[in-house]
Amino acid sequence: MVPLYTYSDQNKNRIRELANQLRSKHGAMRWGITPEDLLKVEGVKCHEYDLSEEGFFKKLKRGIVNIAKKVKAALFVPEKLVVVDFDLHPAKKPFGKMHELGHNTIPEHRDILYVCSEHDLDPNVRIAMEFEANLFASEALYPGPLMRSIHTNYPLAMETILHLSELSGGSIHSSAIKYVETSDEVCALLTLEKSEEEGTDGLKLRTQIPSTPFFKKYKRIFADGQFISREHNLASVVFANPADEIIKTEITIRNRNVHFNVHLFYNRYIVLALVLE
Amino acid sequence: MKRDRFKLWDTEGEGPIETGLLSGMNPMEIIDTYLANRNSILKLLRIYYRKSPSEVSSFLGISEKDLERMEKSNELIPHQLAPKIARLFNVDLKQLLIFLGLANASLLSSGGTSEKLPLPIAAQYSGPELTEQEKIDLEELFNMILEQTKKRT
Repeated sequence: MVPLYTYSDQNKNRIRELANQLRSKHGAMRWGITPEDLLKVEGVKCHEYDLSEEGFFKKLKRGIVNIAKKVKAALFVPEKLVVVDFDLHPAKKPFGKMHELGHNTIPEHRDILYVCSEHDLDPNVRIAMEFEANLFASEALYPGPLMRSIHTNYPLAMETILHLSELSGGSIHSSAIKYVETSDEVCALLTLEKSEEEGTDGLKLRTQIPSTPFFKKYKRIFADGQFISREHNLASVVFANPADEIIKTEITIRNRNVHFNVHLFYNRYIVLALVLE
Repeated sequence: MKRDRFKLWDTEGEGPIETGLLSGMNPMEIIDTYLANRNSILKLLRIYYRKSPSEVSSFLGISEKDLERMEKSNELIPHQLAPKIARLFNVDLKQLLIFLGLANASLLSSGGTSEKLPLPIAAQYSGPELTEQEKIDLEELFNMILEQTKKRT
């Protein structure tokens, strides 16, 4: 049966299956396969364009320069060509390439994008297709069967997330999200950023992603957008330690009388906090 | 064929379509003016091509009940079905996307972006929906990138 709703479990599973089928059919159900490898075996060319190259900007009008700064990656379906912005952060390139490969692999995306530009689609259709391509990219970078072996063979820890990032080629942030989303353990991922409120340094909560067991047990432990001042244990250890190191600490949520272990990692852009019992 | 046409006159579509075309309307205007809802086009195609609801639903991989609900609804049909519908009725996918409201109606008008935007692309970008001018700028940028890429390979 064809799923009738983009966000239904049935449709999400169909997209994940397409990503896994793609890796399996090319004998690529193992770590170490890059997006470039998959694009190549699918007959899709991939090029990085560098707008800072001499001569390029001279030809561009102001409006084009402005829009160029916003574009990260694109797929030209008839030409079977993926182009990626040279200046896109290296950690984001693998996901961007897999996203475009998703548009090329999901049958109805390929058909639709063969005849019209994504920008001519109804905004709701465009959002739905972007969601599906992101879901594909996430599964293609972190295939379900390989994630299961990670959860079985490695401890629940920030070290495992860093190792997963190395194995998959995905960013530490996207590896952390996938790790928690697919975990059967009680854990959650907090994404925080260094911030200042009323003259006080601290951490501002950007997102919190609970594993299914965590959500069943605790729902959410912080309020969306919550500011955690430097005096709080969670923030003080981040400010006291250098970046790119794993910090382990503990927190107590007093109003709920619960205690958690927290593994923190600051990559100079964001702070990732793996919360576990 | 003649019998089919009479049959269609009795349905909600053929008469209005002929009247609309004779008065110089484009298909989008006809649909907007005469049809009870946008998805009536699905029913029109089904009747015109003499397909039963069970044939259509089975080809699309949905239940007859879902098909009936979609035909009567004014909500967007799932984009996942559009290419299959186009194949089943052998109609132009781009036109169908527009008729079903899945793509912008401006593609059909001379003032729209379609004539300036012939390049099918899927681009990831940050920010809100693009304006018409931004879409044209984006198209120009990608034409240049495409040219440059072709020169290199």
